[in-house]
Amino acid sequence: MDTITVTPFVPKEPRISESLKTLRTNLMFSGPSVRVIGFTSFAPGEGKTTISLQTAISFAQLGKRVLLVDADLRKSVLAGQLRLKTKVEGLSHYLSGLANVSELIQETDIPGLYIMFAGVRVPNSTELLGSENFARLIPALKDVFDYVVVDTAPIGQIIDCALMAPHLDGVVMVIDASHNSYKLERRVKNQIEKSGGKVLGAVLNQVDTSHDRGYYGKYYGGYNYYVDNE
Amino acid sequence: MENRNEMEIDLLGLLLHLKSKIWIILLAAVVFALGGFVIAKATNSPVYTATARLYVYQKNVAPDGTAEVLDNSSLSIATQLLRDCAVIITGENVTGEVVGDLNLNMDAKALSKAVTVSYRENTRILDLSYTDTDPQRAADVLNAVCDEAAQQITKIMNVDAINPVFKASVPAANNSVDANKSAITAAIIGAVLAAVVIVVIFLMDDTIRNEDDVDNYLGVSTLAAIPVSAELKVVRPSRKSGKKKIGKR
Repeated sequence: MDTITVTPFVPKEPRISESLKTLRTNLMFSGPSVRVIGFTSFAPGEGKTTISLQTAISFAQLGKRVLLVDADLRKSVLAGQLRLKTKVEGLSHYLSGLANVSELIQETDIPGLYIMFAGVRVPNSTELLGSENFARLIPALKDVFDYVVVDTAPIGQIIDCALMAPHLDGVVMVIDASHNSYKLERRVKNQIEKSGGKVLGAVLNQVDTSHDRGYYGKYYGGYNYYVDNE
Repeated sequence: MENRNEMEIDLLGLLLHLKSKIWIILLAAVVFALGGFVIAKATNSPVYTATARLYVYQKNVAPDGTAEVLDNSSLSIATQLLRDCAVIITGENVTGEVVGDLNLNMDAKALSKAVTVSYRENTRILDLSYTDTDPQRAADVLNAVCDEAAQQITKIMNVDAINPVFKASVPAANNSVDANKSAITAAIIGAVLAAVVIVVIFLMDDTIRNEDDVDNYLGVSTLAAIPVSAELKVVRPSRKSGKKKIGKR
């Protein structure tokens, strides 16, 4: 199995890397027992996959052993985002009993970062993710990895995340800023909690900070000073 | 958590938002100004009213030939005289001649209706007026009516003189619309309208925009706010957006 090339996708812009570090830090503040973290959102395209990938990279950069699991079995985009040339086997193969987990974990060019892709797209993702196989999988992964980052399908459309939630240590809501009504996001939170999951918090994506100048005006300029001197 | 019955209005945010959209407001003002100007010019149809005043003089001669006596009865006779003059002035004999002489595009009856004659009691003054869409023509027609009437009245009624106190001069427009003022009014209306629409859209925005919204509406902590960036813009699945986006993207 070839090593997956991930390094080109690590952002270099200081504002972005700082915000990702903030995310990582806040996740770690959720407690030492929070090691399996799911990412979901209301709708597709809000940034779940991108942010879960970046979160996994972030943990690996701290020296942790991290596994990124692509659990969006219906419409996975991770392989596409990483520009994989060939189709790879993944989670759906394991859940269908067609492969062993060890065969599906891929190394990357970032030390400590491993990826389990979604595998072939399946229509019955909900059954697979609610099955015994998945329930058994998570504790097994926890033995091997420091952190497991799970990218899931948008819970506004597909219920899969709710089925996985009770097996995860927590779920992060990814919100595309200024896009969805708060009522929809409330439903996301309620659904996760109703299913026995725990909401760790929200990540606001695509935040337009330009108009914050009016509020924070003089405070904002000073920020660059710290970043440039790193 | 947000109470259904109240709404917190972020005034500073609203004003900043308005400021950021100032170009829309200005654009609306300009468009409305142009529209107002054009419409004002297009619908502008001024009319012009020419006025003239005549003095009717009839010597009051007693049957025995003695000179003029000015008493109450002679004044009332004067009023009656003016009434008679008015009838003749607007009569078709006069207007018919004028229509013919000036080659007007209306018939005698129409002109009769268009000329108004008024007088004041106990005077010998007649006020005439005529309204037309062309100022020069208004004056010319009224003067022609005065002249023709004068001729006929002196002939028919045996008055001694009927002289103009003033003839009709080319009048100014009655009710022209000032296109510039219309443009300014329209601009203000346009700007206000745009501002109102912007404010309403802002207030109706119930999306999650920032940390405060996450806190207020969802009651969870904000783990991070990732700025808009070209680096993180990766290929996304096509968005089937049936929902209309309100607010900034």
